[in-house]
Amino acid sequence: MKNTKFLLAAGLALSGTLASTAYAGSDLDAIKARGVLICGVAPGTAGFSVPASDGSWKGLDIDLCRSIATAIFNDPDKTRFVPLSDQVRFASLKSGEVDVLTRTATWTLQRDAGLGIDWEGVNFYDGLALLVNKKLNVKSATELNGATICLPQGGTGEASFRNYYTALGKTFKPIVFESQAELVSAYFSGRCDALGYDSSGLAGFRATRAPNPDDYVILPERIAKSPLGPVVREGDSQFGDIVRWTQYALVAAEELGVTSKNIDTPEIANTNSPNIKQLLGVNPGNGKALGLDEKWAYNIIKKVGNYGESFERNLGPGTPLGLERGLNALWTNGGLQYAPPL
Amino acid sequence: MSAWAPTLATLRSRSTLARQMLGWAAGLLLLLVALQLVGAYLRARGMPVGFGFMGYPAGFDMSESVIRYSGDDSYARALLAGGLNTLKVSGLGIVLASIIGLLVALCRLASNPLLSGLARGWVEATRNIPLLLHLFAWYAAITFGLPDNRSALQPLPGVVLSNRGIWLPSLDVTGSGWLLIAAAALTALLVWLGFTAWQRRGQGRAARFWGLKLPVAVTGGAAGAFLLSSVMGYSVSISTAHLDGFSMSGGASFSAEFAALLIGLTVYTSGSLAEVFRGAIIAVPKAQTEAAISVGLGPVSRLRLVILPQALRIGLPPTINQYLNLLKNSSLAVAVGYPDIVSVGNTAINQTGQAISIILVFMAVYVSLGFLVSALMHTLTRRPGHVA
Repeated sequence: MKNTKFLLAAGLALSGTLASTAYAGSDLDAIKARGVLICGVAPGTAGFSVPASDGSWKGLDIDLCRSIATAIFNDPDKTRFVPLSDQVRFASLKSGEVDVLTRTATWTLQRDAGLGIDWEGVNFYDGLALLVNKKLNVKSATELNGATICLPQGGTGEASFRNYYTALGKTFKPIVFESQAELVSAYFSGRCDALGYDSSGLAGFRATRAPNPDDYVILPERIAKSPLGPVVREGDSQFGDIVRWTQYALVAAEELGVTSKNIDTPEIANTNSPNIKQLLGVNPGNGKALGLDEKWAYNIIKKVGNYGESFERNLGPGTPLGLERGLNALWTNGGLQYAPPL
Repeated sequence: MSAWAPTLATLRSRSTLARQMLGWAAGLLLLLVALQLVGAYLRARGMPVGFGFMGYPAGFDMSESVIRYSGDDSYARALLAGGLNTLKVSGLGIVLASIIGLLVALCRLASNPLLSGLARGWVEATRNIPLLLHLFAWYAAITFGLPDNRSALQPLPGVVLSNRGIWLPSLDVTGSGWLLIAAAALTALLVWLGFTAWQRRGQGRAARFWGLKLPVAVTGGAAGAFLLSSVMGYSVSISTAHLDGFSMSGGASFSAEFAALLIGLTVYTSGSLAEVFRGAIIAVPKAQTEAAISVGLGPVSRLRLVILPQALRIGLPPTINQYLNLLKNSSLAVAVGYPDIVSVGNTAINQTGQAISIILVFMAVYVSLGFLVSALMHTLTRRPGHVA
């Protein structure tokens, strides 16, 4: 009697260890079966992923997630957004909690090769910068010798700032926070002399959280490169291809002058341009190669818009952030956004 | 005789120790097997697991550290520095929380309704608010409430308060300064021993002056140091904090993060500790108090010599529990930017991807610190000749 109970308990315990995450090669199948794309996003970075008062999310990364969902489901609303801090984002992706990270994640070798994840292109070229109060009378990052800098934990900031200042032969004191809210609050309380973050994030913090935005200035130096792009788990290259070519379709559409406004006009719909025809799926083949509907790119541009439109409505001069295209302009305009041929 | 006979015999034996050791061995075996499985799984996925990274340069600095540390040092040294930070804040927190907890418990037991009401309020307020809220609130109070470095408060000479931290005057000791300190300590010790000898000789009359022992010893030490410095010309200087570029230099500093964490942890744990102490004091039989009164002990002596020693022994398990809670709760440090071991370890995990190895380090550190606290408390309350 005692033996049976013990054996039963042992058996139950063992069976628990046997149940593992179904690591099928196909994340895409899981997404299709679920009917919803789950994207990991930043909890609140102005211009990239911000929850609005009605519960919806807005931002450049949000648009990218919705574009991927449109490619798969032809419906940008078949998305669910999971806010993830810098600290847990990669662990959440690896564990399967989200399908893709559209979350201002900086692409580095250590992460790409060492963590079992892949970046699928760059949707925003950024750099680490410093936000300071004009009161400090500091014009350059090189003047901040011995200063205290608030940094987020989990980012590339800690190592990058140290490398930068060591090369200059100067020192600084890092105060590291796990939560973005605490980080920003500590900086604007005056605890630190400077705030170190991606320059786009700094523009957002200044616009939305500073008591008086005009008191603050982003120093001109870029401490390190920050190419930000969508991230997927290694293992399903088909899903990875879809994510990558979604981003390229957005850029290609802007290169070709196709917008959500003019996509149905006779000028574009009946065009003779072979490139536009290829983009819109008039010539079959691309969709089949990706395992999607032939009109996948058409749907994306129509329902979400191209890269330029997304940038304009989230980060452009008309928004509180007011960022110039800069490095994110098309390659034909002196920037780095360049789509391989579709 | 099957091969299992010795094991079965051990299980059936009446020796608790033998059974416990078997249990430990089985547990360790299970842990090792689990670790091997996980390691093999990760290696198959191209994510190598091991402790080799511990020797690599860490590449990140820490805002404060008890030992000398810079980004060029290894990950192992970084984790050590983080562990010492945890020990620093937990140790101080335990001591302060005990003092406050005891005071609150005594107030609660007082006959004055105002005192006992205030104490009750303290207990309810501190232990019902989640610790994280305590930390955020105190940190916000310090960083928003205090002025910045340029207009720092100076309530006392040498004491500087700003939203970056608290600075106290510190002793600046160079070579000859150590001699002065040693002389002071030696003189104080001699005075103490002399006083104790006089007390014993005095047959009870001198024992009434027990309160004077410490001040007299300290004065003696100071006199000895003064004598030495005037004869030999040695000196010790006091360094105070002053503004130097962006930060303060000089003096002994407590950062705003450390202060917020310490105050938050202390206040939060003091509420629960007060209740533990109160329960333990009540549990001491009333006859003890009556006997102490009849022997002629005043209220303070009664408490110090009769009630508290017995109460501490009664309340030892829940007290140790609260101390361990404080130790584990200190891992919330990263919420306010204090570099304890969990915060440092998290940065290391981000940079190396070696989550499992570093979490094993966390487990080892917290388990050993916990054992240390528990063993220390048991030693302090051991009755001679008994096993605690």
